[in-house]
Amino acid sequence: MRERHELDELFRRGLHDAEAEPPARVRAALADTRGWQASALWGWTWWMPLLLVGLSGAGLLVVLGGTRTTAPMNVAIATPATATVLGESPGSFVVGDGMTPGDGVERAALHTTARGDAAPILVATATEAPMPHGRTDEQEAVTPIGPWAAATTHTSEQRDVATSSALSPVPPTAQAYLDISLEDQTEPGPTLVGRLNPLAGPSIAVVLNPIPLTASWRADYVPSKRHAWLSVHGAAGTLKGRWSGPDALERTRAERWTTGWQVGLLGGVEWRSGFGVGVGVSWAQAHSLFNHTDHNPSTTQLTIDTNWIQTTYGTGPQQISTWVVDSLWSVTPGPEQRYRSHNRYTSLWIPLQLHWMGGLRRLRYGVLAGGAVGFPLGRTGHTLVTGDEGARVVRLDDRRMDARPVLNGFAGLMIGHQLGGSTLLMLEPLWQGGIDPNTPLAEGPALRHLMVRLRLVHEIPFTHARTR
Amino acid sequence: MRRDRRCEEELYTRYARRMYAVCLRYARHSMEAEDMLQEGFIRVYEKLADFRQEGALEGWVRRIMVHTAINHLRRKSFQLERFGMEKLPDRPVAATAMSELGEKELMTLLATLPDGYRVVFNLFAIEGYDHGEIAALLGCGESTSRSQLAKARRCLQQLIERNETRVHEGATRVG
Repeated sequence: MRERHELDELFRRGLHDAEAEPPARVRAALADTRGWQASALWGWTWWMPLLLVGLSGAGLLVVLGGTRTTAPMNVAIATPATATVLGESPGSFVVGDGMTPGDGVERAALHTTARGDAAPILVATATEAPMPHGRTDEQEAVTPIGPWAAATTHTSEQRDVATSSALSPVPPTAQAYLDISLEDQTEPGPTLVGRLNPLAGPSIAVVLNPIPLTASWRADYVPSKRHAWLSVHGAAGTLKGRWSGPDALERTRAERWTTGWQVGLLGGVEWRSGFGVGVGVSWAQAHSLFNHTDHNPSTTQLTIDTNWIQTTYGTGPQQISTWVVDSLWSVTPGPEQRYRSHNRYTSLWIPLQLHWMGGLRRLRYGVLAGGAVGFPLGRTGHTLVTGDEGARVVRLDDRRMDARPVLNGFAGLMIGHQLGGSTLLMLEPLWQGGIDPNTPLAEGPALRHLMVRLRLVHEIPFTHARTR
Repeated sequence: MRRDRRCEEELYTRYARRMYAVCLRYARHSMEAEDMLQEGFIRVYEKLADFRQEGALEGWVRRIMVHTAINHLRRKSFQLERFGMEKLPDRPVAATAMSELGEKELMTLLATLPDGYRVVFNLFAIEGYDHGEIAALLGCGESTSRSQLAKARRCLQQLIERNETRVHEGATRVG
């Protein structure tokens, strides 16, 4: 029969169904451990690498797309003709009506203007046909040329025709009559389509360049719309970590994170606006110090303890005395067992980086952000596994340890210096940490890095693709 | 049973308050109670597939929580109390003193008990375990359980009487 006691009743009534609000951190820790609210992101470990690979492929296509070629343009070679001199020397005259090429070029004229006694100024004018994409504006490249020889190529961003003029100095006493003989192109290379032969003195030649040009062709001095870049980097810094999984609490307590480093390659495209995108691969290591002490109960001791207990039932005067013989097993903690190890976590990261970079003379500055998927490659060291008998130390490469990819985000500043024409040295303070609000089910540490990255960048301008 | 996050969350929402109170009764401080609660719920989720729906779910959850709390204490080198309280007579506590005790005061009184007394008293008086079950759970003899319970009661009596004395002294001074 179960004895009844008023104190028991008092406490049972008061506390059996008592409630207390647990702190929110317990729920947060459980959500963290059990992956609650992760349904939206569930499975990201599988599709995120695919997405990154897809984006990388798209980026590669963009890079390769910058060198696409167009069909060669038909720049007709002018038929041999003799130019007619209009006007009297030293006045203005125009030559080249006979230079009108066929398709593409509406007319080409060469003006020579003489002002008084001064040396004549030669002006080459090219008026182009409507652009293939509908542009009809007249693009005129006018180059005043002095009495000394000059060769100029006139282009614009979307120019389909280039006109080259190779002009020899014309003495102030240049003859009014100029003979232009046009020749067929027989050899590869620039085509001589007209030659001005003054009766005395050096000849004047007008050359239309028949090289088929691409739509993206541009002169060297015109900044390209975008350029590719490749970089190698090394980074080091401090880190903090927190485990997820069933034994997260014990493991987090037992491990003190120290340093991390990574080396890798990045490549991508940067536009003239300063915005750029890049993908790459990094090899990273995180280090920690594992420290755990096992308190092993190794000895038990039986103690016999006797005493009298006087119990009063109800409010009556009767007291019942009971002689109790205690057999008490007391456990004496055994020797402590200490575990210390330097843990090392190696992983492969695939970062996708977006950035903006501005410049002031040789100084470069900017910001960057992005995401990265990390694939665990190896772990050495020790950690804890909690079972019914308590926490037990196991190796990190134990088969019970489930290592899955992790998703991180990073952001940072870019400060750099242009070393040469196309080489930059960048110093980038970075923060990197988990961006998955619901830690995955994997038994892995979620790490937050604070590091400095040193990056050597080589900028590669897109080359002009020319086809014959 | 397939793992269902919503089910786990619902389970937590429904029983967390009550189970936290259970853990507070066994723990030495609130941080320890939080650890017990978290560990207990993880255990509940892991064993949910074993629940046969023969009894109330709350009772099953509570039992796991109690077992977790005891395991937790055992890991922290919990020992049953061996000394003290033998010479105090077990006599009834004044009804006035008992009527003044609310939930908060009861919790405070319980928290002042040594670990061994508190565990046995919790198991016997509040959870309703008998001495055989307590002995099996704690790995001690039934007589030990009885002894610890008696000592716990005496200790509580003393604490309640002290509390009553203080209240009366205060009332006298005010008067």
